[in-house]
Amino acid sequence: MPQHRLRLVLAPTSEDVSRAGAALRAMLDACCGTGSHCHDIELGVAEALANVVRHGSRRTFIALRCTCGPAGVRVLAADDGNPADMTKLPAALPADPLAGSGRGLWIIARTVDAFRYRRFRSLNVHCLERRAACAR
Amino acid sequence: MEVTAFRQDGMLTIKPSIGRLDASVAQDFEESCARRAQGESRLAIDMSSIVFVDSAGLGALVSVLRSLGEGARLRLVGATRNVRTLLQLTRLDKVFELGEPPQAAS
Repeated sequence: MPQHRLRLVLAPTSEDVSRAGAALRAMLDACCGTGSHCHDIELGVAEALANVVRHGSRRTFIALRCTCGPAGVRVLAADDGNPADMTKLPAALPADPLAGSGRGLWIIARTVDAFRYRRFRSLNVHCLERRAACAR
Repeated sequence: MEVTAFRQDGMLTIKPSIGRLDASVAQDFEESCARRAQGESRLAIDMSSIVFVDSAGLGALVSVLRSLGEGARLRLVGATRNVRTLLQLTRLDKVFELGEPPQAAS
């Protein structure tokens, strides 16, 4: 099965993140069919990017590189903002069920198999992986 | 944001014209729903056109519920399987009522 790839450079805005999410989903659907893991990885990536937009500072772009193949899906997101503080995912949801926020990192933790962060050449690099066999 | 609203069995139902409820539209969605729902204690939102919701979208739904006041009920109708799964994952299926779209309800 061929490997599908997607490369995007986004402005650090929620509008561009939304468009990137739709583009990622289209690529995943083309690669894998419409399995639930496609939705999971779309959601995990959307949350990671939204977190960069919401909490990052002094960044001017987000570069996204996605590959999808028999081994699963791997997404690298790099931004040029100040060092991020997203190295640990929470083990629990917010205690208040009516909290207006605080679910994003929990969703990442539950939708991807691996999540890593590193600082590389003045870039924040987030890597998300989902090991799932494609339906095709 | 364009939303349509109609009343059925005494409950106001709002149908937003969006496919994704994410951070790019969450605030607009929240304000549009809250404006339409002023004075209501029971509200339904028709989610059938929405194929993707993220945590910002969930936060907007929670805010709409809170805007209705204490003891209010917010019913999400026609949610897709993926959206229902997300609601279960975040345990918001215990906060919102889930149901079928009005035209499909018996």
